[in-house]
Amino acid sequence: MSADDDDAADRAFEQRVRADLRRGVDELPPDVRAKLDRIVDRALSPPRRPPMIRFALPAGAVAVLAGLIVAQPWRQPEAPLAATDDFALLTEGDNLDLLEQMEFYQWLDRHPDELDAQVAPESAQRS
Amino acid sequence: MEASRELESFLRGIGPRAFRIARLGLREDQDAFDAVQEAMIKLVRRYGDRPEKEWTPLFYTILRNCVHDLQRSHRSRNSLVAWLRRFVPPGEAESVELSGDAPAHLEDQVESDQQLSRVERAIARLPARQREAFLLRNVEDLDVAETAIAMGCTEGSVKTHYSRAVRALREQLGDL
Repeated sequence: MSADDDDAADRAFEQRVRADLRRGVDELPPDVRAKLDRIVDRALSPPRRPPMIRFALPAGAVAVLAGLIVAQPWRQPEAPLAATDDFALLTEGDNLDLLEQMEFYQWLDRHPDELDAQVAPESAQRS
Repeated sequence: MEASRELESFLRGIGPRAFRIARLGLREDQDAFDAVQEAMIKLVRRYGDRPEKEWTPLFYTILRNCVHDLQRSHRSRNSLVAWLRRFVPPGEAESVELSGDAPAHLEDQVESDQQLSRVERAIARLPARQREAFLLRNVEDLDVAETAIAMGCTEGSVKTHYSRAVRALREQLGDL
């Protein structure tokens, strides 16, 4: 048998096998075809998130939002830098006394005559 | 992502042929369904937006990988069963089965046609690469270049695997 004959025999053989295989595809039972159709439907449907992720995502978002709302009032405004003068005022002992008696000095400032009126009778009694 | 009508039509058309090809590699209907489903899902999600003419070789590349994964897992399972059998006294070995289902034989196929069964048995006995080349060319009608893409090899390799497959089948089946 020549190489050409062999090739021709190969081609003929392939044709017969191909016809058999295609018949096998065409004759797939209806239940197999139905199952393949369901597989196609499943493949084309949008992917479903796993249940954990489906619930965890909204729950996480709510938790973060609640955290932000709760934390908002406690946010400390940024403290202004203390001026050097204020710092000196706070560290000196005399000035602390001044601060403690601030209400008295404010009262005195509003009523300048009151102290004179109280001091005058006392000095008159002494004399 | 919403799949296009073309993609749906492609999947419905290729499904039966893909099932046949996967079935010949895996010898179990359920495994073939699983492989086809996985390949379809991956194609839709990863490559659905690629040009239509690329779908067929891409789909068979994915399907081939799915079939190989299942074959590997079966080999692992069979190795485990064989290993467990070493610890079972003779005569009780039959009771050691992980799932209880014996591998199905191609004789159990629904086709009543004896010649088709013979052909399929012969194809199932081919080495994997020869079988893939033969089926992609003859069931899916891919040309050499598309088959090479699907198999992840050169066109020269496809031709070699294919011609060896034809020779082996002729030896097994005669001239039909």
